[in-house]
Formats: sequence, structure tokens, C-alpha cells
Amino acid sequence: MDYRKYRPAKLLEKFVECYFVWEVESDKPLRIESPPNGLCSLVFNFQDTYHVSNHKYEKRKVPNCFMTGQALSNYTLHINGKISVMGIAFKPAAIYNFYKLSMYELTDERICFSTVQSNPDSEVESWTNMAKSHPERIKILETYLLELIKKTGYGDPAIIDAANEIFYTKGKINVTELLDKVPMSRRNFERRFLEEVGVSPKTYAKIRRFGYTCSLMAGNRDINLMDVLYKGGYYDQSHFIKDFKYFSGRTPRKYAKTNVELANYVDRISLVERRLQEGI
Amino acid sequence: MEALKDNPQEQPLSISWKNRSVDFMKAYQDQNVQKMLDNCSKKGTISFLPLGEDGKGKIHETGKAIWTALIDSFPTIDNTINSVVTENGKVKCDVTIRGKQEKDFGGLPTRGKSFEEDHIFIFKIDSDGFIDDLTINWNHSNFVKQLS
Repeated sequence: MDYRKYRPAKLLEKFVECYFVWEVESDKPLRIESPPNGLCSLVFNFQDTYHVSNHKYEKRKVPNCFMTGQALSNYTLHINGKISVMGIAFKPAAIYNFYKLSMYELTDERICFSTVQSNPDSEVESWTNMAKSHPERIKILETYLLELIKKTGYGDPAIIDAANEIFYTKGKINVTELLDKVPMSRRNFERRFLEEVGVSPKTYAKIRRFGYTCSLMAGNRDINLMDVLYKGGYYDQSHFIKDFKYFSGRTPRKYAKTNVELANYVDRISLVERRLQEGI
Repeated sequence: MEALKDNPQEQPLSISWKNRSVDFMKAYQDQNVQKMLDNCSKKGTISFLPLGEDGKGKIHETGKAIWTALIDSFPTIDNTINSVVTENGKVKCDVTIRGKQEKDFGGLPTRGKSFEEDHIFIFKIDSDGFIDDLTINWNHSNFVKQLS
């Protein structure tokens, strides 16, 4: 199993966390779990179809090209055969900024990209399908986004910055203090945040903190939970347990023992540092 | 580029359901009871779960009476939608409601105190896109405790 991340161009850093490529070939059914990570995505699958299950769906076919908003619970991918996936991991307010799509519509959903897009832009789907390699596809996506950023910009800068601040601080931020820094009323801020990110600022901070905490536990069966609680930014055990039950349906101890996150499987997660324009 | 809600034919059903529910909550935030009701079907039913049988009835009757009284007693009442998701053919809104009591409400004498309480709104939307059933739940003892 191979998983690679590619850094975006400087101009896109406010909106794109990374591009990713994930390739799996398995002759037996594989389950990969993922916690909510605070990012949104545009994903393309070039090989076999796979399925997803979460608190809503027992097993649902994943479209070949789709967009996701904020996830509110852990989900599990069911893979059987050959998967070749690539995509864009968007920062929290990016999809609204590029597509002016009310993000609460995408919360906890995987929606076909063709449904989201009007015809001219959905061409990017066929361009990526025609490309012969993942680096070539990533170049196509980056060119597409660099064009998109010139003609869009629907997001409110205050919301983009506030959402990114929650993301960068891994949810370890006082949302009331954040509100004080924003040049708009609480009501307006929360309404805009729901529209542009998909959840309230408080919920987004919770999602981000949980996702980060899970990343501290991924691939590690023998962990000190008090250490994780502290590093994750939880004030006490009861909040720590409450969040784990809410998002994963399990206690932190059980989660640590049973999680089947991607980090448990991949042979290599590499971050490609070279800039795309320099040729990858 | 247009948002999904501007292309109703293209929308997955769950999205128009979510939009209807968010419009309802925004009208509540604006304290506009008529606008809240405009999002509901004429025969729609409601259940304010912690109020038992007293909290069950038609949206346009029981709902209207309770929301009108609530807004009158808590003139600063406001809400934050934390999340809105579709589940089992319904829309679940996780909402925080807050306000300061200025008048007696439902047997609770006013002490000028404020509350902030998480509520769950479950919306069922009919085939015409209107709210056909609404169930609201909250921790009522905690609500009473904050105002006492």
C-alpha cells in the first residue's frame, strides 16, 4: 500500500492542504478506518469501486469522482481489489471559496462532482481520467485550481482565516476569544461559518481536535492515554471520553486497541517536498 | 458557478431537506414565527419531547403557541446551528439555544437568569419539501436549573 502527499503551490496554501495519491492492491477484503480530520476533499478513483460505512450507512458505494465536506464521525472504507485514488485535501473554507457551495450541504456526505459542477469545469474530471500518471494528474488539478482561484474568491476572508486558525491550532483554541477578533457580530460570524465551513466554529474545533488526537494514536497499540489527552488539548478525562464516544462510538482505550486507520497499513507515507512546477 | 440549492433539479434529496431545515432555524433565530411556520406543512406535527403530552400537537397550533410564548419570555433568544446532517430519511440539527428570561414561562417564574442549552431538532420533510414532522429534545432539568 502506498500513500503519498504533494504540497500545493504557494498561492494555494490557504486553501489546499495537499494533493494525495493512494494505491492499494488487495486479494482479500480490507477495512480502513478514518476519523474526521477537519479537511474537505475532491477525490478521483481510477480503479475498482469501493464502499464506505459510517453511523448512517451500513455499506454504500463510493462515486468515482466526489466531493466531501466535514465528517462528523469515523468512517470505514471497504476495499476489495485494486484501488488507485488521488485527490485534493482542501482546507476547511476552500470549497465554498471556489464553488460557492453551502458547505452544510456537504457535511457528512460524499456527493458526485458532476452534481456539484456545471459542465465546463467538470472537464477536469475527464482530463484527469485521460492523464497517464498521478504526477500528470496532479499537475492538471493544480493548473485547474490556479485558474479557479483567479475567477472565484467567494469566501469571506475573516471566515477563511478563522477556520484556518482553528485548523492550524489543531482545535486547541478558545472559540469565544476567536469571535472577539472577528470584525462581525457573533450571529453573522456563526451563520457565515456554517455556510462556508459546514458546521459551527465550536463543532469545527471539536472535529479538528479529535482528528489530531486520533493521529497521535494511529498505528500505535501501546500508548499512554493521559499523554494523548494532554497532547490533544483536552482539559479533562470526561471531555476526552465524551468526544471519543461521540465521533468513534468507542472509548479512547477501546479505540487505541481496535482502530484500523490507514497508518496501520501503509508501507510508506511520504510528503513530496518538491514543488510541482519543478517537475515531479 | 451556482450552489446546489440554485439547481433544484440537480440536488440530491437530502440537500433540499437540509436547506429547508436551515431556513427554519434561521427564521427561529430571527424570531419570525410566521416564517418558521411557512417552512412547515399545514398538517405538520410536532413533539417537544421533554414536555410530554403537553408538547405534542400540530406545528401550526402547538408549535406556534410555544414559540410565540418563548420569544415573548426570552426576547434575546438566539441559536447556533452546530451541525445539520441527514439520517434515516430525516434531518438532524444539533443546535445550541440561549436567551435571558424576562417574563414567566411555562410555570417558570422569571428570575432574570440566562440559559444556554443544546437541543436536537429532528425534521421530517414531505414530498413537497415542507417540514411534516418535528421532534425537539433537550435536557429539561438542566434548562430549569439554569433559570432557577
